[in-house]
Amino acid sequence: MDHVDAELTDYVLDLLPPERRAVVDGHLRECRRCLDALEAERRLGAAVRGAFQAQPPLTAARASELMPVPPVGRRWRRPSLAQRRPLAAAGLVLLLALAVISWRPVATSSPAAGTTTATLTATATIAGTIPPRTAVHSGLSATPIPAETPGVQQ
Amino acid sequence: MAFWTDITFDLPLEGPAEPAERDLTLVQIERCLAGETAAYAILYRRHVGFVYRLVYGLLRHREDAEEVLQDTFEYAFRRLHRYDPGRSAFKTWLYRIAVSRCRNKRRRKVLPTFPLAPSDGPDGAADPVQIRDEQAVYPDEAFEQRRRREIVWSALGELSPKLRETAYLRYFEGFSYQEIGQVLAIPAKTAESRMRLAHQALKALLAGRL
Repeated sequence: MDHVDAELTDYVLDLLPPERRAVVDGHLRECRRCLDALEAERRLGAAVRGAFQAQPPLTAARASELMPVPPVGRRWRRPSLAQRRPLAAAGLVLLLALAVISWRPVATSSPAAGTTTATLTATATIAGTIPPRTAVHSGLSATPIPAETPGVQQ
Repeated sequence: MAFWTDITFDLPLEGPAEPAERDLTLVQIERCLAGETAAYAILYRRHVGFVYRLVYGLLRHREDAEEVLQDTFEYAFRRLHRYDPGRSAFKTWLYRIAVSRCRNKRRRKVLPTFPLAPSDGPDGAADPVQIRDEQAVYPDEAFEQRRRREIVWSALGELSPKLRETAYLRYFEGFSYQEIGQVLAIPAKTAESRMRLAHQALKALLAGRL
């Protein structure tokens, strides 16, 4: 007969998986020795419970004296997640609106800036589409080449 | 004198039962958050008994336990708006605050001050550390029970705080490992391991002594 002493702690602490618990239950029905060991484990738990139970209680008068002063008035309460979602959406819309409003005056009041942007964009587009060789050629033609520059035909 | 000190407490001061009591607790919390100051006293009265038992059980020192109790409720009242009933029971939330404050209290103390056996209660219970003629007052059976409790307390005093916290929550409160994990901010599996260690340590310490 295989005794189950080693599993009795887990048994009383409710830590055994159901299948092992069933095996231990079956064994305990037949084995007096393991049943006695189980009772000892249970007595230990009962003794600890009893020690905690026997603590000196707090009297009503003392409990009353110890009560902290409650916070005065209505407290601000953190909104729940359900309440926070519409708030977050409204905040996002507000931010976008502010971004649009703050961008417009810059675009209208400073035409030079707009022109520069357009020019830069166009340049970037052209630079991206023109083959590299053409771009090199244009650059060369815009800059006077010294006659004595080796390797360059005039 | 403030009104809350005039409130009469009905003993025994026990924790709330589930689930009807839980609903009542939630109602009280709502009233507190709505600004009803009297609701705080009701909430306090419903929970003070078992919070005190927990902190006394962990600290084994009456003055420290009272200080931690007060601190726990003060913090809980201020942070009541942060309690989320969907995450844990109110009792579990309170326990978590109380355990955290017990740890802080222990950390602040250079030397442990709790005795290895229960000290005087405010009701005038005898200090078991003192040698007294117990048999002249108590019958043999009561004396024997008291002797056993002292032995158990002596063994509990030798456990690490973490194991003692777990042992209290499991043996006395009957918490599940999931609940213990919530109170101690650890995974349920860690709570299981600690409980196994606590039980085995107590078994070794109390072998042949009970």
